[in-house]
Amino acid sequence: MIRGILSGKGGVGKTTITVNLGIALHNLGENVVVLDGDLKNPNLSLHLGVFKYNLTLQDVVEKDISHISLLNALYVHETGLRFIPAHLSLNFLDTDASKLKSFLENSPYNVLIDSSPGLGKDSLSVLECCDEVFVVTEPYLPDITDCMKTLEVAKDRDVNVKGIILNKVRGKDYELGKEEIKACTNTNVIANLPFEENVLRSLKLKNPVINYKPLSKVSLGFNQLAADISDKEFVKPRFLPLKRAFSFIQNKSKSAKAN
Amino acid sequence: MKKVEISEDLLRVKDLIGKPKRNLNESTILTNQLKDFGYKIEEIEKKIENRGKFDLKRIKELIFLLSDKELNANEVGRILKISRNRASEYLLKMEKDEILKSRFVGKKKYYFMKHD
Ligand SMILES: Nc1ncnc2c1ncn2[C@@H]1O[C@H](COP(=O)(O)OP(=O)(O)O)[C@@H](O)[C@H]1O
Ligand SMILES: [Mg+2]
Repeated sequence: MIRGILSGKGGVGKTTITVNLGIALHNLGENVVVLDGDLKNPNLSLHLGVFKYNLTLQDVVEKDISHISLLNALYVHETGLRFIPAHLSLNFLDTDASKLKSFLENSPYNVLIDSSPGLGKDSLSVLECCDEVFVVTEPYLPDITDCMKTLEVAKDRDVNVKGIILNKVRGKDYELGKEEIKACTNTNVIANLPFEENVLRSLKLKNPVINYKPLSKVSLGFNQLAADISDKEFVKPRFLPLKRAFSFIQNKSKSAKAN
Repeated sequence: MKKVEISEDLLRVKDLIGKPKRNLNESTILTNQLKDFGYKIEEIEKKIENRGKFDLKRIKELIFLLSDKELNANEVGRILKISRNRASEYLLKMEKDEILKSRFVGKKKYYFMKHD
């Protein structure tokens, strides 16, 4: 199964979602690999904390040697997440994303692809690879507008659209509501993830938020989404407020000791 | 159930966006060609249960390919540039959904379109 994380607009949280959803699926026992399909601006490795790799996605796709497969560019993160990073260098600007599809047929893993935003060539190539896709958006008019375009194009190409992932939701009255978005796009809103500073802090720490703050609302959102899309039951941790308070105190005393 | 109000702005942009230009994409071109061939493609699509990891465009390509000849998984894989195994998965699936028929020639299994 090849799943894609797409969006109309950039910066809405695709890479964040790919990484954290990937870890959540991995923790559920799914045989998952996340792949950096944003070949012009690959960011996956930045979220995972290691920037340079011997062999990357572009090396494999460009060299096009028959015995070399994407598995040669597969790495394992300390969370256990398997991932295929792309090189940051401008030398790889011309890598042809349309070659990706042939490398992904027959994959022994479930692959989760972090796409580039919009409807450029690279994004369309990623779309071509996918059995099902998720479209990420923030709850504002320009974002939803671009999201609708992506939805239409995906549906037109016979790709199964699993749903919209609403991200960075603050619950303010100036945001568009989940129900309204659903009604207008005729597409299920499959997740409603809050805006959380933990996500930004986790980026600075190079530690995905689901690992850094597993009890935070956004992390539970990732776990819920992972359970939903892999047909597993989501078990919400019990005594959440108590556990959160406890981990807060623990962190406080840790940082006091460090000082 | 309460009817959800959609803001005027959203409805306006939706209208402006419209639909992608049809018949520019390969899948649609294939559909049209198959219709020209006399296939009732909507009925075939309905037959395909639980599409899961099977790509509709690929299925259409296979129908096209097998409409006038018999091929085995190896040959199909080579023509469509996918592995023999993957080709086999598609062929078996389509046989199960009663889109294709097959017959053995020696040890090799050859597939062709079922015409009812
Ligand atoms: N739920 C969230 N709450 C707060 N910040 C977020 C959230 N999701 C993503 N971000 C931040 O938004 C920025 C863009 O996210 P990123 O995943 O890189 O987006 P994209 O891949 O779509 O360009 C990053 O700084 C990221 O930390
Ligand atoms: Mg990104």
